[in-house]
Parts: sequence; structure tokens; C-alpha cells
Amino acid sequence: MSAGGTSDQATDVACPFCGLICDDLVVEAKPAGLEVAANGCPRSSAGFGRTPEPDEPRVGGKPASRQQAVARAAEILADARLPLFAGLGADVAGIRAILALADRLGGVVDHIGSAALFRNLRTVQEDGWMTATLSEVRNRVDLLVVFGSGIASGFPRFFERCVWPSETLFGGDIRQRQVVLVAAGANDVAAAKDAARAAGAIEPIAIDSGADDLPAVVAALRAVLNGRTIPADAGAAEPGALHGLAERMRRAEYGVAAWTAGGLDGAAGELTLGVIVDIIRDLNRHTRFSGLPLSGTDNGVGANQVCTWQTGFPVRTSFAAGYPEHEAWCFDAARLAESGEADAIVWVSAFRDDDYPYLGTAPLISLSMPGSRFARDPDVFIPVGTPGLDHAGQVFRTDGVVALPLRSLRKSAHPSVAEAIADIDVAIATQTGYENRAG
Amino acid sequence: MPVKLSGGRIFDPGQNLDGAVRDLFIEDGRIVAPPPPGTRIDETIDLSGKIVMAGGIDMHSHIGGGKVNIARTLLPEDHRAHVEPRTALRRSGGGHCTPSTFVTGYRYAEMGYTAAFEPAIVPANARQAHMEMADVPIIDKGGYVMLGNDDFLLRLLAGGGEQAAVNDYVAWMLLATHALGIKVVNAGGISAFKFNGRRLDLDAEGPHYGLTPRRILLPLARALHDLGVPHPLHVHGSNLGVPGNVETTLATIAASEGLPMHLTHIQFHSYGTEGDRRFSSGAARIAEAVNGNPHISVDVGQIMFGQTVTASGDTMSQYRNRRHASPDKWVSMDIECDAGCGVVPFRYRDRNFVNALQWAIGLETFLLIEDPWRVFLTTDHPNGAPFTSYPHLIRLLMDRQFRNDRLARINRHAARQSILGSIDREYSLYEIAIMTRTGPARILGLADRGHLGVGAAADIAVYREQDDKEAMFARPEYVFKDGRLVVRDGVIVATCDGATHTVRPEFDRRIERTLGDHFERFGTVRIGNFRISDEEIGPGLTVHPCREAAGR
Repeated sequence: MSAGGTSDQATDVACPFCGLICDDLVVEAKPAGLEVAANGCPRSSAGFGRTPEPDEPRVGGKPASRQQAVARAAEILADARLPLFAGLGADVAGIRAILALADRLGGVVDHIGSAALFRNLRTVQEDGWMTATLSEVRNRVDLLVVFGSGIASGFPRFFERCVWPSETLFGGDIRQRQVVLVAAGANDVAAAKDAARAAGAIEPIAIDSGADDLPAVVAALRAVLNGRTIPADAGAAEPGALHGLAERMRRAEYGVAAWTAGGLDGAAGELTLGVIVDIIRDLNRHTRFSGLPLSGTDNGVGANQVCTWQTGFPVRTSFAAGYPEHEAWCFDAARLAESGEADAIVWVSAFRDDDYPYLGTAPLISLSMPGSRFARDPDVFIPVGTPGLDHAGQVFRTDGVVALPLRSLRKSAHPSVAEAIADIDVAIATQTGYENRAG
Repeated sequence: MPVKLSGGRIFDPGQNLDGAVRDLFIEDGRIVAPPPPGTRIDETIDLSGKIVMAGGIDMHSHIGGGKVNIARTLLPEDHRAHVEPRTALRRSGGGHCTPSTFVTGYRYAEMGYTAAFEPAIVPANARQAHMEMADVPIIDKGGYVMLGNDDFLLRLLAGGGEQAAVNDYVAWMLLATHALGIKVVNAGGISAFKFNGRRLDLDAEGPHYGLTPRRILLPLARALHDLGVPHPLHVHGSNLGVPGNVETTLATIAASEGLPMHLTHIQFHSYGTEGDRRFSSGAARIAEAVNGNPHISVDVGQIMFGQTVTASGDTMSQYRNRRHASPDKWVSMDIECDAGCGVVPFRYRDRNFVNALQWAIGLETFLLIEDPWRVFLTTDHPNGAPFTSYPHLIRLLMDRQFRNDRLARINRHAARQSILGSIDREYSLYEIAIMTRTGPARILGLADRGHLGVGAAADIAVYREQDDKEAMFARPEYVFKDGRLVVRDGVIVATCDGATHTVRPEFDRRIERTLGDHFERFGTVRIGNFRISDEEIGPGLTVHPCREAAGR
């Protein structure tokens, strides 16, 4: 294993299994596989602990050599009119390789986490926002307001690392940091209370309202903050509770409003987020308050960053016109796969072995974890290594600022996504006589 | 075997060649001495009558890192309106204010530029900045890492830390982020904004640490001097954009205490408060101060009329400027106890008094500073205008008639206030070569760039002489990058990957223990993961020597 720790132990290991990318893990190589020995969480334990089954490439459901699988993938793609690159669960090098191939073939790219991610992106595209990064929150937050659900299951170490660390740069009593959860899940509230208790901190406050009521609750909260009166049943939250929260928000010296990308689901999610962003801007006229969007599973933030700097647009971008075109509905992978508009699909999933999620019948090339199970066996399956376990790489954290290096912790027979895509690129060139020289 | 470029008129301030006719020989990417008679020449390109310069070097251009990508995200309309199709040689992309990375490289090369430097790498974001720059083809890159609002340094200074510790920290940061220099942005002001501070003058004590900007600037300037880093401290001053900030800028020059300092986008820091509208040009006073202080250099940050987007680490100023956002959307971010970033779209209008005067102030600055070795041609891309406006800017500097025609079109109150119309100076080709080639290379410590002497990298731009200097500089006839022909008649004919320029001054490694402890106690990234490995930068990694360390 890598330097640091004993020969079978690696320290300061970065974990790619949620958008926090905690990089303080201790991972041990045991005969049965990797094991998180310290600073783990359920997601990292499952991710590092998953023992890849011995697996080999398949073509048409039958075992094949990697070369045969690559050649078949190249044939399918060379014939396709609109190839779709979906999933995009890959490190930065993998995303770069996919974008180069998609550009050349006139394909479309979309990430598995887009539906949630686009709630944030569209808000930025329309309005902009004010946000902070994880270390800033860790050292400054005196009031954390969580809107919606999803922190506990999606970002298990968030409270430990960003709300109640053992010390901060600016002194202040960490135990007096107040957390308020609005329309959170029962498990989120329980996790916050457990973390507060462990830190000896004051008890988090939960403002119960169903997720469906959240749009009305945030609208009422903004009205209260702006000195307006609200009806007694505003958004099914106690007006007293909203007045109390508004007062805490005004008094905060550095408040933070956090949400998970998936936690604002529902038709009004974008409206809700728009109001939260407005509340943050209003508060900054007099004090400091920042947003903290939590997302980034499957390196969704990284996929989006690379796509943005290379094309000018987020994912859900098409190269079919010969140049990048971005449209969040047109180039939604689910829609393209299921409508049949995409006539070949490259499914990329290096961090999870979940099944390919879309319906439709277009030829399917899967570059995914060994042991991936499929309801519909792909036309081509090439098992790929997982960045941070099987090979080195880079992924982005939820804040979109910090990218972290991932290490190789074990020997792997499988190529990285970048290597597999490069092989396919070369095979297409060999088959068609067209060399990809663009750069 | 060498390639011969024969008979061109060489404008190379590095060799004091002001249009002399000379042959150039290229071999293995370098300029070589004329080979002995009888040597077989691989290829001869006839450059008779052509203007030959080293490749252009943009010493201050925001081409990589988080804020640029935020600007792209904020303005999809900029990319929809300016698309670039893929070709057999080029990747697709687009954008005018903040082009996609590939298009950025192509556009620079098409103008004869062969290097550009990202001036505001946030330490926590350095990995992304290098990733983005790695995807900018053809040109060389590098960057200056932002210090002066990072809590490690502020704690160190407030705690009475010694200069030696500052020096070690600065040197470590240059190594860890693969930077070529250090930039300070609104010293202490970004940190103050996080404590709800809205303004911080040069001698005002900031919140929490009680440090004045002056007490942050000087140790950083001294550190670079002591470490022998070629590029002096790159200073984005306090009070950006505030009428009356000319006083702050003059005080900053005085505060340098003889230590070399580079004051960047000085146009945005040269505003007086005279006149009915309490907004006036401070360019003459700034130019006088620069002329009288040979240790001070500046780049201008010229504005041009039209749509652009401003992207800056200076959250305090950008938050103040949000009310000018056009279109009305903006982003502000507090970053990692390191720095910040604010992105505000702007549309500069020639009929607007303030914008028109900003335009005139920039040009006055160029024309009133006497020494072209200490003033550099920038628009602070994209903050004043996209870098693609450089040919137009060069024409404004070289062609007095053209300049006065333009002056007649701007807001007449601004035109009347400005002394621009009374300035006769026209830059010569030789001075343009100093300001866009040899000068930037020297101030960055790039010994083998920016000139055409034997041993230099064969980064060469060849122009057809024309009266219309904008047309001339927009479309070079040939551009060579490291000896390879990459542009012919303004069109890309080959692509390649440029170098990443860095420095690595020596330091006492014990600082890593202190820093590692700081990262672990207060941060969310471990020191070993913060540091970018050489492999991540790739084969273009180039380390330039520092001067003999003065302070050791």
C-alpha cells in the first residue's frame, strides 16, 4: 500500500463515495479486501469494503477478451448517429476522455446525478448565489439551517467535520453552535442530535413540516425576515417557530443555509431554492450568511466542472451539431435513452455497481464496476477499476472548489475509465481510418 | 537540421534589435546560432519585409480556476452566442467573455501569443486551476497563488511571527501549488468581509487579527525578495473601483519601502473624486509615481466597451459592485479560510460617464508612464475586456488619430474631463514588443522566453506590416510555438501542449510540521493531499531558477 502507516495500512486516504471527499481515512488491506480502520462512515465502509468479484469483459453476454469488447464497442459507436454517454461516474481523467470521444463522435453527455444537480445549476444560471466551502463553514458557522432531507444518509460525516469539530480558528464556543433543521427527515434530525450530544453541544431544533410544505415554509420565512405578517398556518409550520428562526438568522454572525441537491425534490424544488438564495442575499445586507449546496456523489461536481471548462456548458450537453449545445430537457439521458433518440449508449459507473437505470433498447456499452448486475445484459461490458481503490485519480468535492487526489490501494486487472475510453477511441480510428488529432 | 526564417525585420528588445533585418534559425524548438556555411537547411521560410517578434506573453489573464468556471456557469448565453465547431485539429467550444479552455488556447495563438499567466490561484483551488490550464492548448501557462487573506498567514503575522517563517511558508506554498509568483488581493480585505467588514483602508486594522493591509503587504514583498523569486509581489490593491482610491494606490507605492512590487490592473485603482460627479482620473498622479519609483511596475487592466464578466478574489469589492451586475445575477463565495471569489457580469458602455472615463484612464496610464519595461498590456481578462481585444488596444496605443476618433465617440463629459486628447504619444513597434514580450518575460524570470536570442525557445510571431495595427496584430502570418508552426495566416494548423512555468525557492522543511498541524486542526484537507504532485502537472512542468537568496 501507499506511503504512510504500516505496510498494509494507508493513512490520509481520500474517499470518493460522497461529495464531502473526506481525506483522513485509514484504510487497511486485509486478506478479504480493503477495510476502513479509522474515520469511516457507512458509505466509505461499504465503498472500500466492496470486494470486486473476479469479472471479465463480455460481448453479447458471452465472455470475451478486452480487445474483442473494445472492438465491438468501437463498431457500435462508429455506426451510431447519436451516441449517449450516460452515468459519467468517473474521475477527472475519465471525464476528459469521455468528452474528447463525445466531441469527436457528435454525442451527448449527461451525469447520473443531473436531476438534482440541475436544481443548483439552474439557480446559478438564472440568479447566481452566495456560498461557502467546507473549511469556511467548519471554522465560522454559528447558525446552521438545514432545508430539506438527505444529509444523514448522503453526507454521513457532515456534522462531525463541519459543524462540531474539536476546535476552530476563531475561538468561540463550538458547543453553542445552533442547528435548525427545516422539513428534514427523521434520520437527519436524529443524526444531528446524536452529533450534537457527542460534542456536548446545544440541542438542534427541528421545525417539522412535510417536504411538500417546504416551498410555503421558506416563502413565509422570507416574509417574516422582511418584516411582513404571515398567515397562522403558513406552510404548516408554527408561525412562532418561523419567527424564532428568523430572529436567529438575523442575529447570526456567520450563518449557513445547507441543502442537499436531492433533498429539495418535487416540482417546486427550484422555486424553494430560489427563495433560500434570496434569503441569503437579503441577510448579507447586514450580516454574513452563506449557502452550502451538498451534492457530488459519483464525482458529479467534477464531471460538471470538466464539462464546463471544456465546452462552456454543464453536462446535458450535445456535440451533435459539431459544437456544444446545452439544454437540460433535450439532453437528459433518461429521455434520450427511453425515447430511442440515442442509438448507442455508453454507460459509465466506476463508483457503484448499481444496475443501468434507463429503459429503451439502444445498444448498450457498459464501462462499470466488476460484478455489476444488469436487468438487460449490455451488448458490451468492460469492467473498470474504481478511482481511489484500483488506480490514482482526482475528484471534486461538493463545494466545487477543492479537488482531491485519489490513490491506488490495491492491484487491479481492470482498466480505468480513461484507459477503456482511449482504447475504444483508438479502435474507432483503426476501423474507420480517421485519427482523432483534435486537442 | 535547422529551419531558416530569412530576411525578417526583427523587433527584439532582448537584443536591442529595432527592426534590423536578420535571419533566424530554429532547431529542436530553440533559436540556434547561424550554422556554418554549407550546412543543409531543412526548410527556408522567406520573411522579407515581415515584422518578427517573440511570441506574446500575457502576464495577467484569468484563464484557469474556479472563478472562471463559475463565470462560464453563470453565463451560458455567452457560450450559446459564440460557438466554435470542432475540426480535425481543434476541439469544439465557444464563449467570448470566458471562452472554453481549448478555444482560449486557439485564440491566444491566433493573435501570436504563446504564453498567458493566471494571476489569482486560490491555494485550495490550485489543483483545478492547473487542470483547466492543462486543457488550454498550445500556449505556456503558469500562475500566481493568492496569499494575504489566508488564515494561516494572518495568524502568523498577528502572533508576531518572524520574517523567516513567512519566507518558509511562501516558499512552501509556491512548491505545493506549482506557482510562479505570489499575488495579494485586497490584503486582509477578503478575510475582513468574512467578518462582515465592508471596507478596509491601507492603514485600517482588520477584524479579529487587528492587522492593517500594510502589515500584510510588506512581509510578503520582503519574502519574495529574500527568497530570490524573480516576480515581485503581485498586488491587487485595497479599495478597488472606489472613487478616491488613487490616494490608497499612492500610499501603497510609498508603503513598498523600496521593495519591488507589481501593482496590477492599476486602472481600477486610479480614481479621483474631482468634478461634479465626484469621479475623476488619477492616472497622471499614478504615472508620476510610477515614473519616479523604478522598483514599481504595473499592468493596466484596460476596459473596452461591451459585454464582459468580472471575476475576482476580491469579494469585498465584488459584493459592493453587485448593483452594477449586467445581466443582474452574480456569485460570491467564501473559500476555505484561504480567499474568496466574486463573479459579476458587466457591460461597459461608451455613453456612460464612469465607463467612458475608465476607458480614458487606462489609456492615459499607458501613455503617461514613460518606461515601457514597467507597464504591461492587459485588460485583466475578462474583467476589463476579453483578451481578444488586444489588437484593438494596440492600435489605440500606436495610432493617435484612431485614438482621438474613438475619444470623440465616448460620453462627452468624460471626454472633456480626460487629458487623453492632448497626449501625442504613439507607441512604436519596439515599445509594443517590450510591453507584450520581453518585459513580461523579464519580470517573470523566464530567461528563455520573450526574446529571439540564441538559446531562446522558438516562440515566434510573424506579422505583415499594415497601417491598421489592429488588423496587423489580429492575424499573424506565422506563429511558431517551441519551433513548431501552429498558425498560418491567423488560422491554427497544428496544436501542442505548452509548458507550466514555476519556481521553487529553498526553504526550511520544518514549516511543514507547523502547517500539517494547522491543516489537520482547522482544515478539511490533509497537507499531503493539498500538495499537488509533479505527476499531476505533467511533462510540461518547468522550474525556473531563483536569484541567489538575499536573506539567508
